[in-house]
Amino acid sequence: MTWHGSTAVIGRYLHGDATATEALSLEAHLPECERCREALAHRSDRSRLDATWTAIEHRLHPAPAGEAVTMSETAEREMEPQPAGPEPPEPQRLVPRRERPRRPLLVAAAAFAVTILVGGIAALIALNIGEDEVPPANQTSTTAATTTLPTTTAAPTTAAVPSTVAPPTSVEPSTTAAAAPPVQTAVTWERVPDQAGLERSYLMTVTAFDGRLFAGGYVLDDACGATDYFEDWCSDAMVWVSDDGSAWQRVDAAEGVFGVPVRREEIDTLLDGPDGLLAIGLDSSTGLGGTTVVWASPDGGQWRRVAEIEDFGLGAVVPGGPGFVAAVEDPAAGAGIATSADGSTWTRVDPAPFASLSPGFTTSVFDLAATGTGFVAVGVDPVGDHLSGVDTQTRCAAVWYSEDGAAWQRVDAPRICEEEEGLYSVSATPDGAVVASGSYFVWSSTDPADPDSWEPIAEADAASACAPVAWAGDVGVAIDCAEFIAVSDDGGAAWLGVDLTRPPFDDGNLTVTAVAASGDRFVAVGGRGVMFPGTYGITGGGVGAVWIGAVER
Amino acid sequence: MHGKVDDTDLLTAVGAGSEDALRALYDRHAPWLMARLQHRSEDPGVVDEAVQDTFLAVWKQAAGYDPARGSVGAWMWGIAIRRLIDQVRRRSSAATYGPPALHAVETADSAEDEALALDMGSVGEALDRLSPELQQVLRATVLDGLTTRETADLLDIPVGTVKTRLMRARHQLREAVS
Repeated sequence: MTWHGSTAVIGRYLHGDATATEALSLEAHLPECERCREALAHRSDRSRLDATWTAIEHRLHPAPAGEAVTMSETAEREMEPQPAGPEPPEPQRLVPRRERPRRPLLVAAAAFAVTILVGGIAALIALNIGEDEVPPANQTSTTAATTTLPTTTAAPTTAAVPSTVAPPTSVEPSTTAAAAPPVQTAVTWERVPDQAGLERSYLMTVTAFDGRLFAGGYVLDDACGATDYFEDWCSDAMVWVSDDGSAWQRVDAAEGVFGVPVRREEIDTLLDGPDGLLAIGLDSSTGLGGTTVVWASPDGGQWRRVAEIEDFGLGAVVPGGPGFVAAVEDPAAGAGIATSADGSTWTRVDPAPFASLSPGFTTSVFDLAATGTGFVAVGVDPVGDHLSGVDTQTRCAAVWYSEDGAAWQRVDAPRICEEEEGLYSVSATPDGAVVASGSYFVWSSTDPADPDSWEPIAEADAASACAPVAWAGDVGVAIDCAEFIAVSDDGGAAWLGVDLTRPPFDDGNLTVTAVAASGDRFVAVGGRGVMFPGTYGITGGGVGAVWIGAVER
Repeated sequence: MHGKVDDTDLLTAVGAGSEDALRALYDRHAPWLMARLQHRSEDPGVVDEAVQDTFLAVWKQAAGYDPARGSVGAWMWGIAIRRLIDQVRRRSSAATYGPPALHAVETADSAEDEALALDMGSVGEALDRLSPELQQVLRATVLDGLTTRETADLLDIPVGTVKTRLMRARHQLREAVS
């Protein structure tokens, strides 16, 4: 039988009273079921929907300078529809914002805009392109015999903004980032052709080592016979090697090193360490918490399993100090750092500096960087009432510093806390500075142990949560930039982004997971894996993908 | 001849610059997108701006839609959930993400509700018994199609914790049907 959400289920869903079964079932069903969408629409808040549409119209037709009311500004880049076709993506400048209203002010500004524009919407609504109606006969027809499509019409809303509208006031944040000169460097990406070695695979990390490139990830293990997340699928951790970045093959490891039967293993970190390559991953089939697995190789060819860690997880890991320094993921005991000489044994350092400054809360360490003279860890302390008088719901960036990777100190950076920041990633630039990115700003410091040294160098905007993760000379490439892969040639102050939703990246709903520098170019890896399904369900997991980025100055 | 305009054809018209087609798509899809986003953020300001961003992205990216890769609704949801992530990140407040509590109900209101309960059986019961934290991760990764890293950013928890919670959820569901 065909299931549809009943009126009662839809009603409970809209009011937040649905059971998990009902909610998840309805949510999986709605995108494909017009009948249920209509039933839900009839019970929706029409005035709220109309107000939101009015705001969309305003953003499609922004008022002239001096009259604009600041709206969300999210994704307000190049609103012209893009032509179809396989042409390479156009680099898009990620423009730092000059003003960033706080939430209540932003909402108020939006409401203000809605109010003044409400009259303008009437003209467009009057066109009445309804769901069950065809447009007027004078509009363009498509090739479908029974379908008539509306055409572009003159925008009636621009005149709806009165010339007397004043820009919002009192929305200046306490911190601003100076405008940086535009990026002068471009990185042109091409996808490496599909090849046998990457079939049924998902690549999660890449690094250069000993003149070659190595990638880590997993290969779907057909022995388990399942490709659905809820079935008993399994995977083998895997390392790939390439001489040129274009041709990849799986390393020929001894039996049982990567392909442990009926397990679900993956490698998500590859490191160039003092004794060779280190691979770190997870076996998620061994129990409730999974098991962190570490592999080591002196040459990238001969691999052995050197550790299985049950007590805590390893997050970001960098080489240096005693050998390796890792962020500890331990929801029970809290965040911290662990070190290891060779990857086989890991020891947690003194956790005291990683305790939240407010009792009853725990911090998170999201990323680590080795600067050459020390180590920087960044994350979040969820409660910030100890600094700047912010309320107890405000998160503060947490910064830690260590000279040797073993003895750490908390660096309270009040300026960051004032901006209600969390820091998600950090890297060391070629000139010795540290760049960290958060929700609002990209921060830089030349002396990360000094709280006053942290300065905002760019507003996050579309590069939100961006930080350079790979450097080829003075050119940095960052991923995880919303839907961009971004390039900076000035230490992170200005960014040039390439849209990941367009070719060559958006080829079958692929994900870019990691990037590494190789000489004067970059290699990015990713694909589509079972753990990373498409929008719905598991469809065709196991597509390994590699992209080569050429630097053009 | 009168007939309903197909979503795909509307997208084609949007790609050609038709705001009317965009409005038609908005009328069809904004209500459920807004409702579904509201289950992931209790802040209506966050949701409304994510909906705005979604349709602006549709306006910009309509030509990039490929019917072979799923329905228009699924495609739009993929955009919407990531716009919500953008909003949550930008506001630096994981507290704005969090579906409302899911409640157990004792009675079925209709034959279809009964069918749903029967179809889901013990899996449905197990799903309802999952802790909110596990439901949250399950929803984000499996239903919303977010990567582990996106989920970690959204929920403000480490990547390893996302994986751990996924495993716990999966084990509980498996135990329920074994």
